Amino acid sequence: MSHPVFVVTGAPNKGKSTFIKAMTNDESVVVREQARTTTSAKPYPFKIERAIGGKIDWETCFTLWDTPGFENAAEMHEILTEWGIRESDHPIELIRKFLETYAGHSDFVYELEIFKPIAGYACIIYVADCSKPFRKSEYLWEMELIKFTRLPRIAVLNPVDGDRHLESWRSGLTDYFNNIKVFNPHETTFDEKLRILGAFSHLTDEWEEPLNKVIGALKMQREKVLEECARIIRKTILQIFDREFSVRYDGIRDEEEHRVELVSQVREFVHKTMDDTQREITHRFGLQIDVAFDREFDDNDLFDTTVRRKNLSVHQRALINVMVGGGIGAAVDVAAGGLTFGLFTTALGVGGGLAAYFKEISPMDLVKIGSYDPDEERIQIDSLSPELGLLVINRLRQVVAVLYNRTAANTETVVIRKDLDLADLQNLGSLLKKMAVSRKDRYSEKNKQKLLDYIHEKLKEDRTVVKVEAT
Amino acid sequence: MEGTRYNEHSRLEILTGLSLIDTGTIPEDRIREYRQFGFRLGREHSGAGSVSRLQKVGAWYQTFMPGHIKERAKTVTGYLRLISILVGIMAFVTGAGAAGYLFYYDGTAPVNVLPVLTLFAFLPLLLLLLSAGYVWIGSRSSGHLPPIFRWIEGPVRSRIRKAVEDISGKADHSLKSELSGLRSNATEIWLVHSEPVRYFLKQNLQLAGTAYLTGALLWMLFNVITTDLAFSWSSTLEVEGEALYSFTQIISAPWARIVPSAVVDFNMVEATRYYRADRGDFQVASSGRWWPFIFMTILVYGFFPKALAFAWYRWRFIRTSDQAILASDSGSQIIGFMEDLLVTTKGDDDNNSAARAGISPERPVESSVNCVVLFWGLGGTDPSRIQNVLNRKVIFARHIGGLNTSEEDRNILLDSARLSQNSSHCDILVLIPYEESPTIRLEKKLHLLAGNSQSRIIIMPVIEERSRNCQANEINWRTRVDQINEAFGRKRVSLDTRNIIDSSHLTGVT
Repeated sequence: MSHPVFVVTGAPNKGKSTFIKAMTNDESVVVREQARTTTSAKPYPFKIERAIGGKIDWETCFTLWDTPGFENAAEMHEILTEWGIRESDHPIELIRKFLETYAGHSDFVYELEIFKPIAGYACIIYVADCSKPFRKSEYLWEMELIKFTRLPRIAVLNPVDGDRHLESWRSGLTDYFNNIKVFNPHETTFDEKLRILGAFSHLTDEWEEPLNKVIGALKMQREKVLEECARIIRKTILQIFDREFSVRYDGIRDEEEHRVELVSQVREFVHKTMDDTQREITHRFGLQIDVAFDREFDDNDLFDTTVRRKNLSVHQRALINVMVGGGIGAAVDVAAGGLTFGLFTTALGVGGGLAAYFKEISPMDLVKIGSYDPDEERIQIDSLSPELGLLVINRLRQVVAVLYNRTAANTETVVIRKDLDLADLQNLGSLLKKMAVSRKDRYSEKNKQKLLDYIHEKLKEDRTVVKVEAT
Repeated sequence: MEGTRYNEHSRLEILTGLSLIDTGTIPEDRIREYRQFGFRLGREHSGAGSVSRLQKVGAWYQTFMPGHIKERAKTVTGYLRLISILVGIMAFVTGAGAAGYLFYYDGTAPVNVLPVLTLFAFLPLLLLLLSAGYVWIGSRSSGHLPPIFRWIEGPVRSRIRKAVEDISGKADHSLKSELSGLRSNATEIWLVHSEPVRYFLKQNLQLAGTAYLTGALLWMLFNVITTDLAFSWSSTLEVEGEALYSFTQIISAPWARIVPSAVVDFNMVEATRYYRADRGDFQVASSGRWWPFIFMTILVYGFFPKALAFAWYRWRFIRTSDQAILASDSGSQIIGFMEDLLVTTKGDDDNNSAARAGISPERPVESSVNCVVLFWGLGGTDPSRIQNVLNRKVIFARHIGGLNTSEEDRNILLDSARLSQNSSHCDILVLIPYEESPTIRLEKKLHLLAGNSQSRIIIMPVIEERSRNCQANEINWRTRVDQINEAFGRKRVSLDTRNIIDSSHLTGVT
């Protein structure tokens, strides 16, 4: 056999296809809540790019076979036991005989599909749902059949709905499998996937080396994807800073109205560019998952200076205002020797507090308006605030961090609910300031490389430090 | 009790009403009333033989069926009945009209016997024989559609199924659930309601045929009595009088001894041959003597077979309606409610406490309905504990599947089938682990059961705890039960999701 082959088996509706989807990130694997979604055995080869014979080509590293669930293991076991096995024969020969004898038999329609690839001396992965109770009478015969094959086998416990019965499953499977692992395809991480592959590599000496190679290649591939993501984010920042925004000058309107229109242009462009970037990043990870920012947060916060004020809520700001205003008022009252009867303390305290509610924080600060061009009769934006760049980087970092550990098995939309603290990117502030203002600085190779390195470094950090608040 | 009697009109009405009511939304206190009612019904009839399940449903319908559903059911059945009556009247008028045309005699050309017999006796008989052959062919294969449509039935159904599956694949859980419900309803209509509907249609067709021939016979009698009819026989073909005579002898064989006057003799046949161009030997005097023969031929070969067919289809309609009432989801639920909820409820515990406290309990006496209980898999459960959970008398409880061999299972299943057959009103309850999906192994056992017992087979879910996956599995089980019933060609197995048993009751572990 040229590469490792694993046959994924188990009772119906226990997440065999989901497991394969998570391991291979193959979107063509059909996963449904209904039983009997998989009715025939189907191979899913896992391929990576390799230089083969002087050209880059896809190489199959290992194959996972998706199979239907066991539906009549008891009777199949009964027949095999009845036939008996000679000492000299490998049980697979008996299974082959069964496949020939019962070909097309409706009682064993699914067992025939399951054992077709197993008859080629593949390793067996038995998937079970450890959120359901372990009833030996329910699973005994399929486990006996797997044991009967004498092939290397591993059990993967999938806590679909919690791991309440994990221990009973562990003790129930011990006699039947060489190794037992817990793996949740929906909530797995990239490292977890590598760990499972590592466990597969220990099943047989023959496959240890190829699977270790796969693990190494996957790690390298991921590194490459991270670097590509850093490049994509840098490209987005430069695109946003590079864009020229202008509005036709209208003598009837005042400056503020022109600014509002300009800001809305910036908002629209930034949103669109970020959407495109998210899609590109998702594609780089080989996934087809939607990424969204929480609606309220998305519409308001990107241009809202509350973000820049370390995410203070309006009440928190009011409290600070009361304290600051009250403090100043108190100082005045003290200076007046108490003749003002604490009037300033009260007035400034209350006034400051109320101001937090009535004074709308303007997003206009992110836009520095430029001069009026009399020839074109247009007002244009001189430059965007570097903080806008920091915000965009922070958001896209979160997208990368979530997708890094996502598998195709989890198709739920990623919804990011909160911005990261801008202080996390403080070292980037001065660089972005220069790049936001000056086109020359923006296209300086040195600055570009510096920005890329910084983003890449952050993306690598984010792999291990969970900062993302997303569902 | 008045409510326990119903004619076939109300039978149709009950069936329609049951298809309109959603028993899943009936509140617990209402169900409790049904139980009391069922209990009283049993007690009132204890001296005069037990009340049949059908009578129970009839009585329930009269007493509890919501007024608006009753009204709708009445309207639907009223329209059906009206259509039957109109079809009958139209057929009668058509028969009389056809007879008026064929028996028309103005003294010139006599009435030709041959078209009269063809239209009123041989053609209806031929059609009836064809339909009997058709029924025979139909009975040799499964399905409800006529054989000619069955060629396209398979591809059409598989396409519909695939389309539904495609939609299901993309749909969210609630839509999936609705689709599954829709599919389940369609199967219910297909397996339960289609058969009485088929017989209802056939019954009406035969009724129309009978009315047609009645109209023809009455008109003929009217003509015979009120006018002087002359009959002859005439054909373009060179038919010999002897041949026709032999033919009439064969036809009149059934009544030759009983009504000899309705048998024609050779002389009369010879004397009543008629040629349009040349009247030949036609003797007007003999020509009136044909009428008893014609009358008897229409009666024996037209009217009687049609009337018998009508009676047969009507009886089949009644039978299948009764079966449908009991087999329908709503009907079986109602029976379940009236024969005590299958599973002990909190209300019963309250009643037990009340009884212990000396307060007269409202709880009905223990149900007289028996049941055989089979535990599918469910290792770790104790069959002897089932009596604590069910409000029915358990006459047999065993594990099947699981660690059993096929032979052991087979023996248990055959014993269960035999016991359920020997005991009246005995259901077979198959307890299944609801967290697991249905399998071919279980399907085979159900087939064996259904093949050896006519009792209701009810699949009852056992769960360890209610989890989100149970909902998904409800769709799996429901779909599979539908498929099993489709394979049977009628509804034999039902899934009772109202009576879900907590496995801790069966293991003693809480």
